[in-house]
Amino acid sequence: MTGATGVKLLTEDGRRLDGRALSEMRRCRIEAGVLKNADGSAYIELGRNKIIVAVYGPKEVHPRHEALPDRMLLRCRYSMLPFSVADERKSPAPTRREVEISKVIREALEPAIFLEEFPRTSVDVYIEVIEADGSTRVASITAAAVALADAGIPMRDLVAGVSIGKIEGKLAVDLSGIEDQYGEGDMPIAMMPRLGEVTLMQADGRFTREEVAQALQMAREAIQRLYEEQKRALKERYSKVLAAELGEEQ
Amino acid sequence: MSERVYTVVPAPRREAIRSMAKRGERVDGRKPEEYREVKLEVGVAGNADGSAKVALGHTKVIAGVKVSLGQPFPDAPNAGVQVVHAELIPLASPIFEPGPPDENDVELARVIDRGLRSAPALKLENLVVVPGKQVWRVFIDIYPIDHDGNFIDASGLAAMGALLSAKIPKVLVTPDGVITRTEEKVPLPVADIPVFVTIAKIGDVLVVDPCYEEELVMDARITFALTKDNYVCAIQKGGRGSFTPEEIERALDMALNIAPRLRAVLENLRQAGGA
Amino acid sequence: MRLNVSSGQVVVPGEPIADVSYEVHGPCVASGKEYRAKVLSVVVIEKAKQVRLIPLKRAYIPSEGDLVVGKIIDIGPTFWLVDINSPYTALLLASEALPRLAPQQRELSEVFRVGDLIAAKVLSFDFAHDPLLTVKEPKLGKVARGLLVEVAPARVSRVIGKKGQVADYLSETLGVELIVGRNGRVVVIGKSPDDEALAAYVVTRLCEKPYVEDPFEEAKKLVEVARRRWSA
Repeated sequence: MTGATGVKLLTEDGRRLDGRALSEMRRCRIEAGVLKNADGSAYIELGRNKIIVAVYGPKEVHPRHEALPDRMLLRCRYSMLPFSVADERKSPAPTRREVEISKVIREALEPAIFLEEFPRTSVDVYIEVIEADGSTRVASITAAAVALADAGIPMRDLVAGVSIGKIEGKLAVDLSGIEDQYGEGDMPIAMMPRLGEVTLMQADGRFTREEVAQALQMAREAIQRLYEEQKRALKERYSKVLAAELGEEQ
Repeated sequence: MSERVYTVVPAPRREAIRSMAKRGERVDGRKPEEYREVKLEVGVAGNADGSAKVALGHTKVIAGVKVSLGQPFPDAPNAGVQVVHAELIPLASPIFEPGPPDENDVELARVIDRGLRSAPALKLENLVVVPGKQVWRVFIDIYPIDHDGNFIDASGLAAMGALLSAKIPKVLVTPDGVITRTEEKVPLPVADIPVFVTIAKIGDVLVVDPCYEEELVMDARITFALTKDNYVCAIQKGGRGSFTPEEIERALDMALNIAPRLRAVLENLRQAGGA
Repeated sequence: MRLNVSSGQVVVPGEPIADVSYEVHGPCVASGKEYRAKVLSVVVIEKAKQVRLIPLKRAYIPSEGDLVVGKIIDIGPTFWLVDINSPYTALLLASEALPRLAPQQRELSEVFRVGDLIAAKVLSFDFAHDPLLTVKEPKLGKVARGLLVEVAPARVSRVIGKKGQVADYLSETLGVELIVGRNGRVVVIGKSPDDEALAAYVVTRLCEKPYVEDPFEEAKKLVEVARRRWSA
């Protein structure tokens, strides 16, 4: 994370190891409504990341005494499947990292949801990382917002996220696994794209005040592009249903 | 559920706090950019290798450092080990229940760990005794003991206070890797001195160092860890609300303003012979 | 921005629909000078200045007077717990089902057992309390036989139609009895399993598309399709 071990992340012409320019995001593809049982679901591929999200709700809160009298309870669980990581198998037990990420993801999605609309209910978001290659928490948020919308949860806006990192002294958009591991810093940022509000922001590494401002600007632009993909995925999911002709057999 | 007795703020009070904030007033009489008084005491736990107690207003946090020789992590054979643990214990507040660490304990520990690691407070490569075999393992344990808000900042000060006042045995290493402890103690080598500054958002107003009641009514908070030369080495947004990018920059400026004062409390702990 | 959308367009939460000079029906929120969608919906332009947003997915929230088809899931000392396909589990008090007061619990299970389907009416619901049901009106009570069809609660009103037009038509033409629950559960009772399957098919397909302009016409077409399919 502190870039100490000298893996060169930029080539002579300023390109990254996977050929991207510093401001370039990896290829992102989202699919909405991929699971039958869940009330809402989404699948995202961001570079080699593969993450699936299921949303159940609004539904009754279990255990009942955890229900909130005036709003919906949002619960999030971020989990990495044991075979999702490049190195050794990850133990299925929740790690402290997953506990923290579950919390910040929940706090990234909460501002976007009209929680007051369904008091005493819950909406549960389950995030499973199938393959991890850097920036999984922001990719999870991007997919989770799609799954929530797919479930018909009332929201002010979608939420999308991107990581801004620092490699060889320069800010870069959307860190891959190796860039996160050997780079000089990582700043995951999530925003409500229409409202322009930041709902997740973390950092490790070292950034100047100017770099923080620049990172926010870079994030904003990248998030707008992700927003287009989110909208496309949701609209495509239902355009098939809308186009179904009368008289067609199933 | 019973904690709602202590965490549900009556609506009129909530409204009052929010309108006060709009007028630039806070519940404890501070101004929005005003930080509470900080008191730091070291050496409070005699068996620890380093310890500190911080009082930030009524918030009190104790941190202890224990250092031992041990094996490095397999994927970092030439680096020492830093582990940060935190627990919100029932002693500190009626809202904390006994039990395994929950997301708040975990978040607190990990945010402090990141800030210390990125600064870096400890240069882990300087904690190697026998490369690949024996390194110093530094355990930092943080225990808030009284809750009036802003555990992150207080915990950061306590952790740094413990590190800066910590002493480890001087060891002699023979060429073939045999370690002998001497009776002499030397300071734990500390490099940078990161400080943590948390800003809360109440309505549209940014206030620094929120007290407990402010934390109950705030929309969101953002914490910046800052190094000696004003690098941001950790950021953590928390809470159910959001910030505009412009608010984040304003909050960062507030933090940069406050940091030197907090660091000054720690600076005179720096021991001769430390890194 | 006057009108931002066209008929048949899918809108995502937060997407602007039209400015406040328009009439916008359906889940939306007025934000400054424009209306924004709250829920993933499809747009229907109904009139010159009137737009309707039809949610693609919506949980059933009980409303006083609704007829619902419920499933008994638990028996308490003086009440039954009823699943009404809603995030809110409903209560049927013994006094709303039995003539006598203070019944014994085993009496309750003789009336309705766990797993029974009932047609009930929503007496009251406010978000602070569980919805209350009654079966003390004619045509309410245990559903003894028939085929249960589950459809989207947001679209089940098509099966009723204007002034019951569609339900009457389907009953007559297909020779079935329909119990249409506002909670997206429809019970089809026919003389034979084939009759019931055919009617179930029509009901399911009628509620498939997010928007149907004329449910009555649609129902007629579907009956033809179904008849062709079943006679083949």
